[in-house]
Amino acid sequence: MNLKAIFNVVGILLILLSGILLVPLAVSLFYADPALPGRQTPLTAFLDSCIASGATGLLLWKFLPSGIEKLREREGFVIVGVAWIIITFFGALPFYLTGICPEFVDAYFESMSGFTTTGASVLMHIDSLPHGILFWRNMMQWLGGMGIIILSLAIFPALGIGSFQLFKAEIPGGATVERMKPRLAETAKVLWKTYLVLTLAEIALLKVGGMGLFDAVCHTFSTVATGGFSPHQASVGHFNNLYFETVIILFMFLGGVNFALHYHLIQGNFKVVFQNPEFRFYMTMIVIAVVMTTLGLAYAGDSLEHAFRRAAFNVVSINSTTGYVTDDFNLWPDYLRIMMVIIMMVGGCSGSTSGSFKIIRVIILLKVILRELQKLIHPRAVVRIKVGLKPLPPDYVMNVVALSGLFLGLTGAGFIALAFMGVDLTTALSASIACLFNIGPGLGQVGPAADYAGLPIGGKWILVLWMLMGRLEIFGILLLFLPMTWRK
Amino acid sequence: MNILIVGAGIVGFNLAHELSHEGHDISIIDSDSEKIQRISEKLDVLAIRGNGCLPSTLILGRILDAEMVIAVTDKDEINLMVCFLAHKFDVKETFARLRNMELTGESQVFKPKELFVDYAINPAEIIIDSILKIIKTPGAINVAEFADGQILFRGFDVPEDAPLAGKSIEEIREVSELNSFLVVAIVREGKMIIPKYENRIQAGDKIYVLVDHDFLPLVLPMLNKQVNEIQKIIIFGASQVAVNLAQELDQFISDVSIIEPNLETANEAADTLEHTTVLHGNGTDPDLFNDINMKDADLFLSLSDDDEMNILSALLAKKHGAKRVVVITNDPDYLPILDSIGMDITINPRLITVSEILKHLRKGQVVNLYKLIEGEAEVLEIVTTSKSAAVGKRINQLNIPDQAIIGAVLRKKGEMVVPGGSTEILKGDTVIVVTLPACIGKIEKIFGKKSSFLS
Repeated sequence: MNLKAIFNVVGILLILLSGILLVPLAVSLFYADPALPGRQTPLTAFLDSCIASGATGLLLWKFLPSGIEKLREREGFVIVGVAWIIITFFGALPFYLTGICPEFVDAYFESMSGFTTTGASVLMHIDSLPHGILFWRNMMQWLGGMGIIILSLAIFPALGIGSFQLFKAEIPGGATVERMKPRLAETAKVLWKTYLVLTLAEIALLKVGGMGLFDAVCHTFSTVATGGFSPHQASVGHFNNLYFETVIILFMFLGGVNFALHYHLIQGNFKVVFQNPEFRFYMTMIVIAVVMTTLGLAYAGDSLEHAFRRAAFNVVSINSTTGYVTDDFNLWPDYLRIMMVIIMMVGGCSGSTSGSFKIIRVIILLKVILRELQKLIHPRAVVRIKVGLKPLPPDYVMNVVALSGLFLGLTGAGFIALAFMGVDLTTALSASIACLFNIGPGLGQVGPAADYAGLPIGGKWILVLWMLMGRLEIFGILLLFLPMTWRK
Repeated sequence: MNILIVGAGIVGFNLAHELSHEGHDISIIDSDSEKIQRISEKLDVLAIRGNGCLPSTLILGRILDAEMVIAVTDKDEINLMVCFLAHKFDVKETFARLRNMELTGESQVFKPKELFVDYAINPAEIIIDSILKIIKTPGAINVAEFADGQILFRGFDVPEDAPLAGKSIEEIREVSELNSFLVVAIVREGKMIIPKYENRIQAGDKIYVLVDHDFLPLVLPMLNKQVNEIQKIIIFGASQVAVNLAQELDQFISDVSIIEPNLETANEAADTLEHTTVLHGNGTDPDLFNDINMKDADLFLSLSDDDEMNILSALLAKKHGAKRVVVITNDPDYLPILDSIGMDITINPRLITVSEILKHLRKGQVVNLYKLIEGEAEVLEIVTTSKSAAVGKRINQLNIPDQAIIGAVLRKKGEMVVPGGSTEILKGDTVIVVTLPACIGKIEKIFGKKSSFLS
């Protein structure tokens, strides 16, 4: 294992992170955030984190001999895994140093939930937290949504970490993602530019509707990243404003769409977008779920119009794996609650900022099932798995089947582990799913109106790992635990 | 620049590698999914699996944005078709590898241009050309040309009785009153040395010199006392290269024979060739070797299409007394071992094709780049412009690193100067620098940047 290369890349990322930490530092300075009694002010906490991250980064990058040139396939996955673990550590420092999370596990949980765009929180009384800290939570989601390694590929193409392995290991959806430009650095730039355009558009629209700039920026960050952190305890429900909800629905939806399609859309290739099987599945699924939920809520006694508003926001939020809420769906009829959990597990498109299993994989699984049925009728039939017009290599199909097994297995493992620690069944199962699939709010104790603070410490560590596995699509993190990865 | 390469074999892969490193955006098309998989994992290029003869595949490979198309698949027909389509897509420049000599040689019916190919590269022609040069420079083991053939780069073995053996570079410079050549590299026991004044040449070394084209005949006797005229040549394999080479050799060498294991191929070769003896037999048959007096052969050439057979056959020929052997291997992975098993000269058609195409592409300051196999030293040909820092300075003011040497300076008028410390670099000079790879960056800084590589 090429440890030098791992440390070099992590070093570069930490230097980048230290630069990024200056933004919440400035926010903290602007709002003159007060300190908790006997603790550091957020300003000095950000400064300390910034210095710690920068110094460690320089040490790893400059003072270790470079080994980046000789990256091998498996090292890409290991680098991305290790980098995420370390970056999350430095991202957690401000929470810990300010005393907002007195236990380190809580700080790390919050940071991991941020970078993986999960949106599960252990913080209470969110409205009263310092502005700098709130801003940093949402900014982490924004960074993690498109990926901090892909950001570094776009910013420093010359550093020679432009390897396909790293790109593949971090982008949601993995190898299926379309390469828009011949060069990875250019592809990464296109992705981040598209992301920036979406971000600026949403900030502008929210601002025009009358939202304060701080709220607009924070909500935008976690909307386009499909993250779900809100600077308000009641999430988007805080505003009770139809215009804001409409804008946010639109951008949650867009955040769940493959960014290659955004690029085609900007280029005027409407045909490519609407013929994309994954996009069509995504649209259809949302429409069906919204209709069902609307009818269900109306049947339970709500007016049709109000039911539609509640259904549209919460379904799109859950399906795109954002996790904003305007309504406590924990109180909905049971069959709707379960449906919400199921659409959680499908998620958005590959190449988007959404978490979860991804629609393309669901399509592939359905086609595999169809193939097995066809084979029963025509045992000698040659059936190739195709998505759109593109036949998929059998290796990739197997990978999807294995990944679906892993997602289910880990859901079960997390469920059992949490239940063993004394968490009730609904909470344990939904927390395991909500973290592994990067959604955020679950049911029961971790429902939309509650938070993860009450879980046992061991349970929190498990969920931290689950969030990371969900974001990096499991294989990369599992690899870290295999002895053969580290063998010479 | 956006460049589309069709064909991801050894040539396509290496071109994509070099060009992508030089800052170009590369797309590459091949019909073999394994090759595409490998290339997309190793290189930062867009790799597309598909048939390069289909316009739809070419569009996926971004031909609409491409300023240049390079067709290097195995088949001439496909390469021609790709260039034709590229022309229809309004691509500015097209390169094709065409192996068939009827399409590129003297007997061509159509010029490549008429077939929509802007530059046709025939590796066979280049190979024949370099083999002929080796034969015409007795003792040479390595040949290359710089500054459009004005400056010759030659490698030699130094035998016991060579007049140069035991002399230091300083002494050589004093003796050679003509001052027409410079020793730019010495290879001793597999290690490359960039010589300084005090270094001595020993018997058994390999030396590399840069010499003015017009002075070569005067220089040769100094390197090798008895110039062994080559009289007997034996070739293994009646490949296209071998047959065409034999036709050339017939004109000035009396005894040329070709061994070919396939009877039909042997018959065809015999039909084409007038004076050359064509033998039907195995390249590893000791009886046959005795029959044709291998021990008297001055040169044995392994030119078949089979790498392993070429190597084996050359090894055996050497054992049977052939004085020098030349081997063609297509697989570049064999190159590092060939020298150590006693192959005197190795030729790799794939790498030759790559460097030929790159040579055409590089129009900026670093015109020509030639890789020496041992020690991985590189020879750079640089044309100075008013922008380069070196112009107007003397060489001893330039801080040339120890592992590099300025081998020759060619003035604009075409006069070659063997450089010394006091030689001044003028604008428009062509400077030949031999350097170990570690110093390439420094050399580029001194003479101007590599980034202005292509137009």
